[in-house]
Amino acid sequence: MSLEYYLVLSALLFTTGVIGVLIRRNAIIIFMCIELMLNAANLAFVAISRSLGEATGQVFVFFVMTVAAAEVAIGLAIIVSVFKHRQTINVDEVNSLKG
Amino acid sequence: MPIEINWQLLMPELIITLTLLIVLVFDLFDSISKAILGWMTIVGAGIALWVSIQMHQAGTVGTQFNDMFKVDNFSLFFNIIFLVSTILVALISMSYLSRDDRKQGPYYLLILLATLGMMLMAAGNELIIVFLGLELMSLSLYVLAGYFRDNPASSEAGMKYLLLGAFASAFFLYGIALIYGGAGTTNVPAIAEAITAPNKSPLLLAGMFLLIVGFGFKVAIVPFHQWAPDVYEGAPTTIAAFISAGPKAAGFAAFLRIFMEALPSLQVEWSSVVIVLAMLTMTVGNVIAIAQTSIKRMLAYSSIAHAGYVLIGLAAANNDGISSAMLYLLVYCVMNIGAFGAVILAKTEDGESLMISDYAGLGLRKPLLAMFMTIMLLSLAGFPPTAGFVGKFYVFKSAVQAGHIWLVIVGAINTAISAFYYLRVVVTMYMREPEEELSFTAYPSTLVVGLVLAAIGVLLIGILPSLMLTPAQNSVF
Repeated sequence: MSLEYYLVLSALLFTTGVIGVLIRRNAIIIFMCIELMLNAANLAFVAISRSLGEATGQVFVFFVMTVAAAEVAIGLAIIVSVFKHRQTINVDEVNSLKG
Repeated sequence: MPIEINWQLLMPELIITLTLLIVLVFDLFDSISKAILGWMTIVGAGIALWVSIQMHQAGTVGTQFNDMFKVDNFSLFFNIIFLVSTILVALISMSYLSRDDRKQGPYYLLILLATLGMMLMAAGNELIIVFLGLELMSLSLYVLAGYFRDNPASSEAGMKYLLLGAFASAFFLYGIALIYGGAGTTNVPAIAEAITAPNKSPLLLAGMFLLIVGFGFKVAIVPFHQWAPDVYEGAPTTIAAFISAGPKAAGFAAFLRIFMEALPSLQVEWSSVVIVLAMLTMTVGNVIAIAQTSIKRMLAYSSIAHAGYVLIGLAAANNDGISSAMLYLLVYCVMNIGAFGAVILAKTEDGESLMISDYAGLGLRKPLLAMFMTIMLLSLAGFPPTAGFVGKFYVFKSAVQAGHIWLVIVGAINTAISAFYYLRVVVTMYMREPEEELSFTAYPSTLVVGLVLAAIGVLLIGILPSLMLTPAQNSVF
């Protein structure tokens, strides 16, 4: 299969993630949508790396997975600390800071 | 295949790594005073700063790790900016943390980690390194923004910063993926060679715009700025100072390096976008800042506007533009941390003075505090003989040389607008009487030292601009 199919799939996944971040209001779901965006990028990296016949992109994916894991750990900790204060993680209700 | 490592080239980064490990270990001992951790941070960053200055003067150039990590005067100059910011932030943090009895170990550890991330971003010669540096910096900053866990506003700031920051990182990463697809490599000089051919693949253009979006979020450019005021207001004030200084400079370091060195052949496409973003950022930041009643939010919008002035240097896209943007970032970091430090100094018995109206009458009651605040605000507004004037002057000059007259006109109008809200605080301090007497706490000595250093820096660069302008001009890659 040619590279285009993979890139189109990855673009679709990325767009799904962006739309999810913009319309969903639960912080955990937003976070999952961000993970989807990162994985869309991973798919693009792997596909491009394969079509170029070199390994840079695949190595990149390992780094991205590590970073994503760290991001999840920190993200969930912060979301838990918000939940302790407000008993909600709906981003529309967590809005004491505005002006 | 063994890798030859030139340790000397990596000295500043190694010193910071060593310092953060020492801080991590010493935090484990309950018997020692935790206040020493702050001093360790300052000493470590100070040594790294001294080494960076020496290497900068010697004009050290070299790459490491298969051309992934590039040390040159550009990265060393940015190291100086980051380390100066770290030292100033550590100085203003010490009393801030100890008076509320906060945990100090993780705080300094995270500050040092963020600093290391920034240094990697400035020295990244490969998009992987830039991405890893960006994430190391951002992840540390998310935690720092939510550091006061018992404070709902701080947790909320942490969450907002996390969600929007991670969103931006994903855009940045996808941009890298598309550039990899278009150019076939992620090495910065190799990308430039790969796209000299006239075919500008749509992948490259899309990747470039995604990178602009990612950087736009990280350095708070309009229309990607919405997180900044909320995060600055909710985060601990010292961290607001830190986020507004070093990370913004780091974002611009990678922005300059990637766009000027890897994508110069797409300059026609990106420079028009950057010009529009610069105009929008300056105007929106300054106009909204006028309406603010909270001083932290006002400084947040002002820092958004300052990102616009730096963008003018990038839009000029010549050597003068780069060096003036670098000089502006250095000046901006010092004066902005100084302004936040003055906010911390204005601590009352009931908490921090966060409303502009709280500053009424301080000119006579607290002359030292009012003087620091006035120096920093005049510099932010760009009055001579402060560093802010020098920074703006050279940025505008480079844009005129590049022929962007309209950009400079918009910038000048914005400087006039910004003078209004900066001077309003000064007028409030010296010419208004307070509605109620606030009882201010005593000045902590480390905070005063930090502010004195910032004030000396601002006035020294203002009076002798060549002191920093010449090094900046020598730092263009």
